[in-house]
Amino acid sequence: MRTRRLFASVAGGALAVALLAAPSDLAAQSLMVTGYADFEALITNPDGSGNSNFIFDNHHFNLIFIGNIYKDLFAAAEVEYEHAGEEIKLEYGYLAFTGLPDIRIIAGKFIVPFGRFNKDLHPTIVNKMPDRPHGLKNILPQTYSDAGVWISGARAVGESGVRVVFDAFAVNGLLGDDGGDIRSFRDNDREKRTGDRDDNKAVGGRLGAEFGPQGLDFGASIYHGNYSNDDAVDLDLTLIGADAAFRISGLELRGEIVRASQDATGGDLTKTGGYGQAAYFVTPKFEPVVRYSMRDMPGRDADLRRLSFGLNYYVAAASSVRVAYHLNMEKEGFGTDNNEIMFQWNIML
Amino acid sequence: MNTIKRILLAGGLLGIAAASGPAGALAQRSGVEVWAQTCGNCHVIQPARRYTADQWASIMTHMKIASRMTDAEADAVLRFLQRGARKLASSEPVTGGGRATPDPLELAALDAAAFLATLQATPADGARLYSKECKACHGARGKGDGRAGRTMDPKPSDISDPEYLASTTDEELAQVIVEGKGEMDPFGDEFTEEQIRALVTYMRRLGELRQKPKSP
Repeated sequence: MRTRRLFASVAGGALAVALLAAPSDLAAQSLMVTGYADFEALITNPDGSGNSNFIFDNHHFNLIFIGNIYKDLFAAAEVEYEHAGEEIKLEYGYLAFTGLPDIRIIAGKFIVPFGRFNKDLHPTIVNKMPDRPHGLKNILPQTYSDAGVWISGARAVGESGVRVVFDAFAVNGLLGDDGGDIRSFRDNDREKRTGDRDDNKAVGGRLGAEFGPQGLDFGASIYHGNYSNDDAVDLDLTLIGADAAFRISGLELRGEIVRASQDATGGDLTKTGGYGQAAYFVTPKFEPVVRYSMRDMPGRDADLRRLSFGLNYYVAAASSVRVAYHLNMEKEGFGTDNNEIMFQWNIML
Repeated sequence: MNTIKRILLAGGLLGIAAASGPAGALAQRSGVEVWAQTCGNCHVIQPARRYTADQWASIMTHMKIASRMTDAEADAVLRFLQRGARKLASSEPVTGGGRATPDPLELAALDAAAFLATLQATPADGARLYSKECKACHGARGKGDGRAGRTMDPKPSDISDPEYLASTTDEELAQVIVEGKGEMDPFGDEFTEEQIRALVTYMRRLGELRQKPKSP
């Protein structure tokens, strides 16, 4: 089954590339290929206090296909080739109608517009550290994309220069075991479902405000759906999140927090995760970054506090080198047995 | 429908209702301003000549969806980027199967009448024009340290440098504004002659301010 899915993905990607290389009548549809790629080196336990690992990785070689197809019809897709080709899948593939004033209707598989990091900030050419915030991964399972319908838009608020932005979506939803790890709930597709299942869909959205000239934006997000893969049991999963960012001169402050309320027959679960980050361009090319991530899970063992120090060097507008040192901590203090050094070179294709 | 879903639906409708309104001040923001403030919020800004006009049309639709720009903002940024877009080897204008994207100069010509009508109603205020169209790259004081120009190579020029201004005539300064230079897009189709003169005057004023001794 996995081989068949892998073959379909590779064949689909090859077909898409072949079409793009075809003569001008197809190219005239404005379809273009872009994307991003990176090389990473990861060292764990660099201080030698435990088992040490040194790994090279081609973490991403992701191709993005986008194009205005006909009048107000648009199509986009991203094919992920991750971890040196070990993981190949469609991150998103959707059709969009942009004919309504300031409103877009999207249908297909898309990155769920919850918060900011999941949809907007996760690509390595955008993320200011060579790793995702640890606090969010097991609460909002990034990168979380799903099949469904999404309505997105923006509205000006009078003459104030403020923009209100909104997203509303209905998707198949996260699906998994009773009380399980939310990160394993992705990929709710036809093959993952077993037997009959009711028609519950997950719904959610984000409402935000952006003060462009002042460099401030913030928003609130919600997701709600039945996650149980047993149709005899209804188990709700609700995610509530908040995000904010502020920019002035070369300084950027950013943060996000998510809380999950997860029904479980063994006792309901509450999970909280988030991060705060500061970055500053000391010169046009160099940007130090500091990030604090946290995660509170049922039972202490999965709790995490991480303090990360990074430095970005912008080789060019389309490429940067990032280095980061992650201090992985337990709640009581600093743990030194699983720190990490990460190096990343990324490029926008 | 359970309570959570009712709340979501009500909140969504309320948000849309509250957000309704005329385009207002946002429609008056220049393409440069939106480009620097919105695009630069997420990623390093790419130079206009990196892509062709046709490619920019596809990219801007993708970014309009991703960044939730209004249609007016996205159109303003697209016009700005297509002015400085990379030219194809063929002299034939490129048209997409979807939205027609003519050659940038043709686009500018089609747009010029409507655009100039708007611009000519705008006073030739050099400070205001500089703030809307130039500050993003050249910086608030003309030192070339604007946010959008941070990763450009070469960097935006220091246009308030007194030595540079002393060795450059007004006609030469105006020529750069009209024709562009390096990573800088041409702005000849965007400004009237009066506005270009106002910008040159403002640049000289920035240079005078640099030379002014600071108060003790």
